[in-house]
This record gives sequence, structure tokens and C-alpha cells, in this order.
Amino acid sequence: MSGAANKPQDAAVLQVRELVTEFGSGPSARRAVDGVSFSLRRGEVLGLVGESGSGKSVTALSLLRLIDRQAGRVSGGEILFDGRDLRTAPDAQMRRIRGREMSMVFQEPLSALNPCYTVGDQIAEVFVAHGDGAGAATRARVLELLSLVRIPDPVGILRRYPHELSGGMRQRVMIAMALAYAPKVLIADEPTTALDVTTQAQVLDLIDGLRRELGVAVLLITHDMGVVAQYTDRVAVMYAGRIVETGEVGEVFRRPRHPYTEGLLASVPRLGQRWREGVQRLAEIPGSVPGIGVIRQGCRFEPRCARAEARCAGAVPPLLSDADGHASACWVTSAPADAAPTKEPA
Amino acid sequence: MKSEADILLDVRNLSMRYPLRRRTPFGPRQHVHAVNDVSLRLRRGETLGIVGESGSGKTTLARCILRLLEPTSGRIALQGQDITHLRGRALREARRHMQFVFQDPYASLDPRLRALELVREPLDALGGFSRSEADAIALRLLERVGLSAAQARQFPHQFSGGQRQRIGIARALVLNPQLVVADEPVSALDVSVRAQILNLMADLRREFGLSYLIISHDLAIIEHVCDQVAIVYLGRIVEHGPVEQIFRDPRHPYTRTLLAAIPSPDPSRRRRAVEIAGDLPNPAAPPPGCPFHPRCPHAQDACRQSVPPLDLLPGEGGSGAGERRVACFFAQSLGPAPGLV
Repeated sequence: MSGAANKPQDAAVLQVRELVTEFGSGPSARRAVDGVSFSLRRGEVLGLVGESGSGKSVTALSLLRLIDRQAGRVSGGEILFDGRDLRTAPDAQMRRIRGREMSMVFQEPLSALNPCYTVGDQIAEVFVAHGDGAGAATRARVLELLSLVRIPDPVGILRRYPHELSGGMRQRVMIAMALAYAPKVLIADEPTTALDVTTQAQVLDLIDGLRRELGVAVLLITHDMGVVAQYTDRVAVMYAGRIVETGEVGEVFRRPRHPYTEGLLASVPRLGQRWREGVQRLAEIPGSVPGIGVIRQGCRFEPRCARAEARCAGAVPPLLSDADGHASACWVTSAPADAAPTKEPA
Repeated sequence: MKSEADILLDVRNLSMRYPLRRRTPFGPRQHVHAVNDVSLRLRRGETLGIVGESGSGKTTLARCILRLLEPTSGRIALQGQDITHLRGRALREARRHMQFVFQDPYASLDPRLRALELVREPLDALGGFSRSEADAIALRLLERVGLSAAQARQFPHQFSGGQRQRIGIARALVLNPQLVVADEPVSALDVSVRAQILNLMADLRREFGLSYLIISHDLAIIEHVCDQVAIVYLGRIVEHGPVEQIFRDPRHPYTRTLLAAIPSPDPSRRRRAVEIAGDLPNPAAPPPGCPFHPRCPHAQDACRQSVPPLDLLPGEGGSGAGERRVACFFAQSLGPAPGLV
């Protein structure tokens, strides 16, 4: 996607090109994801940030082909994973990949876990589903996983039901299930949004430790700029179905190029800023987030953008990258003179 | 120090117990102490933040103050009037002066009413206004919170989350209250919309001379909008005082834990992983002694045996001196908090 990704040493585990996901059909089809490209390298955490309706969760579900077929479909682009295109892979192959090579942790552990089965049975089910049976070997591996996610007293927790556990413990169980086969890619969709701050820190520190130990690549989906700043290497900012800015996290936070990223960073209160910097009033982004699939000719952020010019309403700005892989899609702030097109050569 | 007359809300030794279901038919009835011996004061024009994790009792505390619940013991006074056990007409009259802004603007507005009707409803309930008077008042407020006359005729589903919260705020202000209690007023909103609502609330506070009680788990928001803050843990206030003092130099180990756990939106300040032990204990069976001791890195024998009182912290100069209260035996002997800005 960007200049950095083209270097040979950054072998990408996952490469997504021009992904399009639509809901509905015919003239009423709405694009929730509209031409999203990114890559994910081994041991890397990529943050996917966006607000409700930005398409970040739909992107995640599209990667694993978990979009409800009655409602929508991935209608364009490529999802290259280990040399295969998951968009066109047969269902049987997808079943082997899901939960084994690429797995997902959901936002609400209480609704993602089955209330009728014990924690031990649910983790073992991952092994059963992939044909490994539920014998003593599986039990040993389940216990191993529970210690891996730092659950105290793993033997005791095996017989517990989800409702008997705290939110943080449930999310650890979800992570244990996701790690059952040491996947190459872990997708975590707002893994801590339902948790308290102290528990959030525990769970995110755990995910961070696991990617160091196991080298798993993490796609961390969040709306919290603090989580992005603390726990990711690179970030992709989504707005209304498209990536509007991407790059190394320190670079994007220091020198945001897209007015949306800039506005988002300025509008979030930071501890100490009131006293240190005398900030009495937060910067505002006017208006509200557009609904899914609202069709616009030009830049989707244009109606809310303070820097919009006439051309912004005319055509969608391309995502242009500099040599360091910092890319943004804005007619006004991305200087076309020193930037190269971001699309990789086919 | 301001005079007694400036105290808008005075809460003394407030407790709220909920009964639990009996385990056996004639067994002992157990209780959850959702709010335990809480005292706080709010001066006119001030904003007090209440911070705590889920299960800390912060929402129960707010509901008691608004008298949506009747507390088990203690006293609540609003503008000098004891409202702890008011009922019927007297309670309705007292409620005029205190209003609630709800967390979820999707669930808290009647979907069958237009924006104007939603804002007018409290006036109709109070009575004494003609239809056109009430409409004019409601419309003026809607316009003040940033909605147009055309939007006043729309239904809740036609608005975005931020706009719905504006309606919720207009509805809370229409009776000209003294006190507005807001329970997580922006946490259900999109990040880019939160600043709009927080700025609007700050403007309205000045214009209408309001006092706010804001409940939130987001410390950065609390620091930004509040003058005073109370940190609650398992139904008790563990630290209380001027927000700047508490955030610059937290004295209770729990306050320190909370502050250290917030991910800073600044990648150049990466904190090292802080070891936070354990989960919030079951509020129905709180640990003996200091409620925080099982998770506290500084806990000693004294902490396991008795509950530390919420005492004034001596020795702080400047404005707001002698207003800082901490419930920790070692509040004064703890070193400076590590890793804080």
C-alpha cells in the first residue's frame, strides 16, 4: 500500500487491496467499505481507527468472510493471505483458516461466548472444530492457553460458565480461544470498549505481550486515540468507508495531514492539557458522522471540513504516500508534487 | 472559604443498600452497600465530577441525589432544604431544581414525540403555561442548543446521536434547574462529536448559572470540565478535592492506579506496562478494612483491619487549601506518583 510496504524485508502476512463490501443489492446497494488497502506484517500491530459507520468492523468481518450472505457481500478487491486470495477461496478452505491461521476477538465477550457451555468446553470446541478431538491432549492445551493469557487458577476456571467471570476474565477466555492454533493474524475488534480502564490496560498489555512472544500480527480496531497511541506501530484512519490517512503512529500523531485526523486528535481531551497548555475549550469538528453508504461525488469529509475548497466536492482524493509511507487522501493538504500514487503496481 | 449560602447540594453520610435474594427460604438476608457513607458538597456554579469503575456505585449515588431512589440512611439537602425523604407534590416541586441528562440519547427520548414536544413535556407536566408560551420557551432552548425551528418538528430517529443529546440537554434545562446531573453524557457519542457537547455544556453552565454533577469513567473528560472531583471505589469516596490538585498529585493508591491505566493519546509517552493486580471485588462481599487493600501495592496490616477515614489532607497551600480529603492511612507518606504528567 505505501512506499515502506514495498521494501522486500517487510514481508506482509496479510495484504488487502481495494476491498469493497456492499450491503443490499441493485440500485439500493450501499458500500460500507469502499476501496480499502493495507498490509500487515509479522509481529506488527496495525491500528484501524474510526467512528461508528466508518467501516472498520465491516472490514474485519470481510477479511474472515463473516459478512452475512443474506445481507451483503465482499464485491471487490483482494485479500491476500499466505499467497491465497481469501475473497475467492472455497468455503472449506476458509473454515480451516478461520480460528486457526487468522482469528478474531470481539467487542462484547459476554455475547460472543455461549452461556450454556463451560469455559473449558468452549475453548476445547476450537480444537474439535479443526478435527483434533476433545481428549486429554486437548485438555492439556486448553490449560496451557489459559495460563498463556494469565488466568489465575486455570483448572478452576475450566468448569466455570461465562456469567461467573468478570469482563476482563471473559475477554481473556476469548483471546485464549483466538490463540488456540497460534494464528498468524489476530483481529481484535474493540476488544476493551466494554471494559473498565484498569481492566482495559490489563487486556491490552496482554495482547501486546503475546505479539512479542508469538510474533502474531494484530489488527487492532478501536475508536480510542489513546489506545492507538500506546499499543500500535502503524495506524490507518477510516472515515465513511475509506482510509483517509495512514502511517507510522508517531508520525501520524505528530504531523497529521488529513483534516479529519487533525480534528480528531485536537478534539480528544488529554490529561494535563488544561493546566499545562491552558486549554479551556476543546477543538470541535462540526456536524456528525455520515450514515453508511451515503453517496458523495467528492471527499466524504468535505461537508465537515474547515479547509474544504471547491475541488473537494468534485472528486474523491486519492491516498497519496510520501517516501516514509505516511499517506493521506486530501486535495488540500497532500501536495501532489512530491507524492507518488499509493496503489501498488499490479 | 465561601459561606454556607453558596452550598447548593449538601450530602451527608449517604448510604444505599439493596437487598439480595435469600439463598435459603428463611436464611439471613444479605445486602449490597452500593453507596456507603458518602459525604460531599457542591457550591453554586461549580462542577463536581464523580469517577469510578462499573460497580463502584456512582450511578446509584446520582439516583439518590435526584431522589429517583430513597436512600437507606444519611441526608441530602438542596439549597438548604432536606429532600432525603420527600414524597409526592413536595418531591416534584424539589425536582424542578435538579434535572438529569442521560447517557444514551437513543434510549432516553420517546420515539413518538417530536423534538419540540420532548422539550415542552416538562413544562406541560408542571402546568401553568399556555400552549404558545410553552412552545416559545421550548423552541428558544432548542435553538440555543443548536437545532433549527425546522428540526424542532422532527422525531428522534431523524437525528444523529449528538443532536439527540442536544435535545436531552434542552429538555433538562427547560425548567430552569439549579443542578444538572449528567451520567456519562458523552460516552455513547462518536469521538468527533463529544467535544461539541462538552463545549455546549460549558457554555450553558455560564449562561444559566448551572451547577453540574458529572459522572464519568473518563478521567481526561473529568479533568477538562470539572472543578472538584470525587473518586469512588466500591461505594466509598476514596479521594475528593479540587481537580487540579488530585490530578497533579494523587494521594490515594486507587486514584494513582486509575490515572496510570489511561492510555495517553501521545505515542512519544509510552508508559511501561503497569502491573494492576486483580479485578474489582464483588460489591456484595467487599473485603474487610480498606476496600482497595487486596489490589493495593502499599497495603499493610492496618489496611486489612479497619476502613481508613476520609480525612482532610493537611499542609496544602494556595486556593482550595484544606479541601482535599483522602481515605488512606498512608496518604501523606506515599512518595510522588510515578509516571504522571
